Amino acid sequence: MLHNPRELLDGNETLSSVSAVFDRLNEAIASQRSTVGQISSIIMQDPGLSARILRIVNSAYFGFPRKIDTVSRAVMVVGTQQVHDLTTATSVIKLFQHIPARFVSMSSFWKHSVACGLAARVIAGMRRETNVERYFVASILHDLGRLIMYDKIPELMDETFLAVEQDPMPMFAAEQAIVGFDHAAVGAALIEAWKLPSSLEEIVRYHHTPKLANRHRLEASVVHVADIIAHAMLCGSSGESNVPTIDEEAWTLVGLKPEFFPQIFDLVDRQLEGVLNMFHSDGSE
Amino acid sequence: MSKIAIDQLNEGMVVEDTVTDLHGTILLQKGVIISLRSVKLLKMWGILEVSINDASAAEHPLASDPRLDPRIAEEARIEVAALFQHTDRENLFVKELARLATNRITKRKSERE
Repeated sequence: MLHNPRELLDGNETLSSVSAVFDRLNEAIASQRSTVGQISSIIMQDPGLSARILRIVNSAYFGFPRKIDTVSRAVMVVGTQQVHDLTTATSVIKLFQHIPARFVSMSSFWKHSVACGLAARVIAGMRRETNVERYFVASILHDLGRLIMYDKIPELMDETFLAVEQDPMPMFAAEQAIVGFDHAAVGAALIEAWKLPSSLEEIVRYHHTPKLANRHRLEASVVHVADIIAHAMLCGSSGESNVPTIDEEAWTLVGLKPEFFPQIFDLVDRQLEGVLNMFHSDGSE
Repeated sequence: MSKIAIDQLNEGMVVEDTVTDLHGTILLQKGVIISLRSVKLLKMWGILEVSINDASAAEHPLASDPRLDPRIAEEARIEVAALFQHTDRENLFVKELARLATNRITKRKSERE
């Protein structure tokens, strides 16, 4: 048995390559003095990324009335923190786009994550939370640990799938029993290694058990609820084929009424395909 | 009087009890005839079901009737039972999610046939 989710992250070039962009952006955003110009210039060093950011801010996802044609204008209008979160989301999706997966198709994986992200964003918006993009990017990251597990410990994941088939239980519980930790712990370790904000680390770590979260319990609860909704909507999967267990306290904390579910389903349905295409594309028409 | 789920409402049905939102604002008066537009509005307002006059319910079939093949309905029920096996089916949230998932599966299956 492995001792520590961090062991799965060692010696992976793809994972360290993304760190470089994140490092520069994190530094720029963490520094109070950083200007719109500084952040824009970091983004502009990567033409593909710039194109994706512009496409995202000009899409129905934001629905701004006027066209935004420069990165610095995008940073100004959308906000530095939000642009940072969107950059993280689109970079991660891009990075993990073509992983050959014998356990799950990548299109199904991202469909689930983006559906979860859209639902989390809608719920956060209904609660009038600030920075709804934080919820979107946390959702994009929530099951990422599973991709690392498929890649690094395929035999143990074979066993996990078998265990779930023989003895019905949620997949994260089977992972804990067989591997020693679950995909949420691996995802959290990855976020830590990438030095992304600690709120993301906590949301991902506790997306199945939000009541254990300390500082970001509400955020973790919103993503927990959004994950359940994405499962109930039958929108893709990261490997878990059923609705995972529900943390009732989280649902109470989020304060969502069942009456709103049809509206959330509808909004996610309407945006899903467009957002998937937008985040996947590299900016070349 | 019978309560009819929003996506089963059909044109021509007559509202039995005035429909209000959480604040008591009237959305549809008693006696109003359901139209496609009113169904759309009710959905936007997040209303789940409406009381319909029995006589008009007998005259107008439920919206989903033509596609409600009992075999498909049974298949959908089994799939939803598996999908929600790790959850408490008595939980209010789960009940509504399961209802929506059933509709979704039924619709997909009917379209495929």
